[in-house]
Amino acid sequence: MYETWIFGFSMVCYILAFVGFSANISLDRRNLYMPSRAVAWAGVFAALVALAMRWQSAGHPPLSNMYESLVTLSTFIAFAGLVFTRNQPLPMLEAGTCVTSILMFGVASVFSTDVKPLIPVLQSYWLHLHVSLAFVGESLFAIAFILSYLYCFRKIMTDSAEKSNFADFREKIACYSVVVGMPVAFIAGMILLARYLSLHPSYSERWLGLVWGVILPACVAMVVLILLVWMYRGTVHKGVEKWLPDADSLDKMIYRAIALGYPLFTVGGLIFGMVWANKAWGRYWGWDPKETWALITFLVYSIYLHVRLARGWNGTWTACLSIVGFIVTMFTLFGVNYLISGLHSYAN
Amino acid sequence: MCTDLIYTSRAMRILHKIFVSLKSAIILIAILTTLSILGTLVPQNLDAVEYIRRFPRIGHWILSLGFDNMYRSAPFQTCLWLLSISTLACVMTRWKSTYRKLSARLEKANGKEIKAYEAGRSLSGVLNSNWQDKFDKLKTDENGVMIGLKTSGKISLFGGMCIHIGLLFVLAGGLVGVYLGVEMVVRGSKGDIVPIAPVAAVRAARDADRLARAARNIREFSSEDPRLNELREQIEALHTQYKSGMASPAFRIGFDELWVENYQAPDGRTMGVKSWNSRVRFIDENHESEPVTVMVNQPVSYGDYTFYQSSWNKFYRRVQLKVEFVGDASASSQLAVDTSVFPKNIELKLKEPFNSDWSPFELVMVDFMPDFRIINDRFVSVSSELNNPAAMIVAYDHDGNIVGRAWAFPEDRMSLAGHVSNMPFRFTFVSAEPEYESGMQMAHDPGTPLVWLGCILFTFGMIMSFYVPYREKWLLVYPNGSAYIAISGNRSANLFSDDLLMLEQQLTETDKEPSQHV
Repeated sequence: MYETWIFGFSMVCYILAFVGFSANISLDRRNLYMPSRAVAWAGVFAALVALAMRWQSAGHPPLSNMYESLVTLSTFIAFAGLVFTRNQPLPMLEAGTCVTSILMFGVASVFSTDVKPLIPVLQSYWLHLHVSLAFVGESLFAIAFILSYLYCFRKIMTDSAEKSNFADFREKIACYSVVVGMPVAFIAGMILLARYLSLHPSYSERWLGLVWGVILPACVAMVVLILLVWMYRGTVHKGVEKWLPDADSLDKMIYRAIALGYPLFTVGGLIFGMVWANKAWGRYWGWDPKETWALITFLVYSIYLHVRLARGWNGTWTACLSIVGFIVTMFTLFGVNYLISGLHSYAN
Repeated sequence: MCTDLIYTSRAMRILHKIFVSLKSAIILIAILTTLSILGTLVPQNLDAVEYIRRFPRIGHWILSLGFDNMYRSAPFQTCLWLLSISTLACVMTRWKSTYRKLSARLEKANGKEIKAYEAGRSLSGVLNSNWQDKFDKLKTDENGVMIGLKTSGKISLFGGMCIHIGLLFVLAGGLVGVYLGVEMVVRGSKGDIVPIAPVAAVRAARDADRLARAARNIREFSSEDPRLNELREQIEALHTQYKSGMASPAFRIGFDELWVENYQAPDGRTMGVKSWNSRVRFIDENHESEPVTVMVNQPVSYGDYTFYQSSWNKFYRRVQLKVEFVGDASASSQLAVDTSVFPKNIELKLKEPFNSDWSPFELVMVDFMPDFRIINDRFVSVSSELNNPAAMIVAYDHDGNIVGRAWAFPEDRMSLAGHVSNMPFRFTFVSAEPEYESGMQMAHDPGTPLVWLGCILFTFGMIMSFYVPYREKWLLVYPNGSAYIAISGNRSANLFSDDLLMLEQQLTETDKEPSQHV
């Protein structure tokens, strides 16, 4: 019971931190950066405490259903964002991780928060290893996603100022698609989820929570942000120049996040999953939709690493690949559970 | 002859180029990704008619491309084979470059290459006297430039190769599993002894199932297809092989005890299943194993197989009923029954005849549904809990003709039974003892060790590649005394700036005693 309040406190911290980081960037108030970071750390610690309490009361790690998975992942993302920027202040990334965590928690609140005992197949230490390591990898993919988004945003802002930033028209289209398309895709995804929940009586009126708590605020925020960016594009451009590293450095950071996350996801999500499946179901691989989509995630990031390391691709196209990778990751987490039934359906 | 050889060698060169090319590998991975996505979107392993019914426009395409069983389809398997060949080619190419880097890195290096590294600069100070100790190897090139090299983290050079060799092992293990591995479910209740066929026989059964499905699909489109006869013969041969395997099994498995543990709420209520357990023995011709417990996540191996607790079934074989005589039922009109013996309690066993001195009929409980519902005009049980038990009883005369049917429900729902009973007796459900049936997945997969070896190599490869930094520290000393330092490796150049500074300090600092500050 208490952990719900602590999670709430943690969300308030993330919101305050987001406001602090935004003010730091837009008002050019450097002295707001460290307090915002401290508030974000407080949010992460509160969430970790709440997760530990839930673990203690349930007797198993909070990784066994959609609610628990989402709050854990949202905590990991906020944590990863703060660790990632410990040596290089990057308020836009930190603000991005706060927003991602808030949105994930918002979505999580739609699902049942009841603590249920583990079904027999989940009673294994492999649950700890497989899911938690996969989530650490996924949280780093989320960092790469936010950085890729910022990369495209930076390219657009620089382009509007210099008129010659893009190598070709396709690159320009790709950057605009990412910057405008991602929020639209998120809202479309949430509308689909709300529709799914409204058709299933077991979720009762929870879909309304999604509409009022996530979709409408996200729509309003998106419209307001687009208007503000358009109206104050000169100031925003200056802010971007000041607070975001150059595109090349951002590209390298994206690579760093993926290079850290890829081995963790591969070992945790795929290899440990295979070992566990072999112990529980008698085969290490069964082309179950969840397994297949985890493999697809692995393949997409493998393509990213191959084209970047061996072919020397970088810039917009690798940023787009990182965006695709994260969309696939999220589909593996959400879409597979709700759209395709399989052996992992208990995760609902 | 000579022309043929030229063409062959040219074709081989082209093939080698294709397989070594990273572009081909990326294209193959992209195709595999697309096919995998399709495999999760198209329902798998349905009958042909289902595809035609669900996808009237593309059903034929799905079937002809084999996408109804995507991961065994020719396009998918071909991609996997091509990726394996491409990976092998990549390993061979990598081996050459890695060997070169390890064995003759300094010998192959030249000043121009070193000066082209992003992290590099001219030394501002003068080299100290012991600068040569800071390098592993030194050489002087044809222009009189002295080149020094110090490397660290050489192990990371093996990372990429380990990843690719690991992937090859995983693919090889998977292919071995596909062709030689078998999976089957054995079910048993307490006291049952179930024969386990040898691997070859189970493999025959698996192949027979695959062929039977193929035959079904062909028959849906053309029942006169000449391939059907051939398939039928093959299936029969495989069935015979399986039957002979069952007749002389590898061993038998005895189900000694089956039990379920439930979570208990503080108020004593059960809150769901905690674990399913089977205590079994393995019995072969001259040996009987000690009883072992098989649980979910705790498999047991015996002979060629590993047994996994995969499913659990609760069913009711014995049902206690109360029987009352009802004089007005149609079948009772000509019966002379001693009504003083009623009501009577009896126990019926599922599908076993029951004869008694009080009834001229033979009674058989043909079905028992613990959670009875009527859905779409069909009688079904929606769970294995005794929420709404219903037993269907049929009465036979001496000649085996059905003379009556009756339903038994609990006392409070007996009003329903009147509508579906035409026997002179009224049956009321009293109780039923649950029995359990354990479903155990048995598997034999000779490819698994290869897969684990591949996974270990893959993991170490990733650790070496991504987490072990490889550094090459270079020094160029020109004949005029000026010097240039550079650092290269498997990290981006901007990460080497500190290392570069440190190297400069090491090379230019004087050999004085450090001064003491108070």
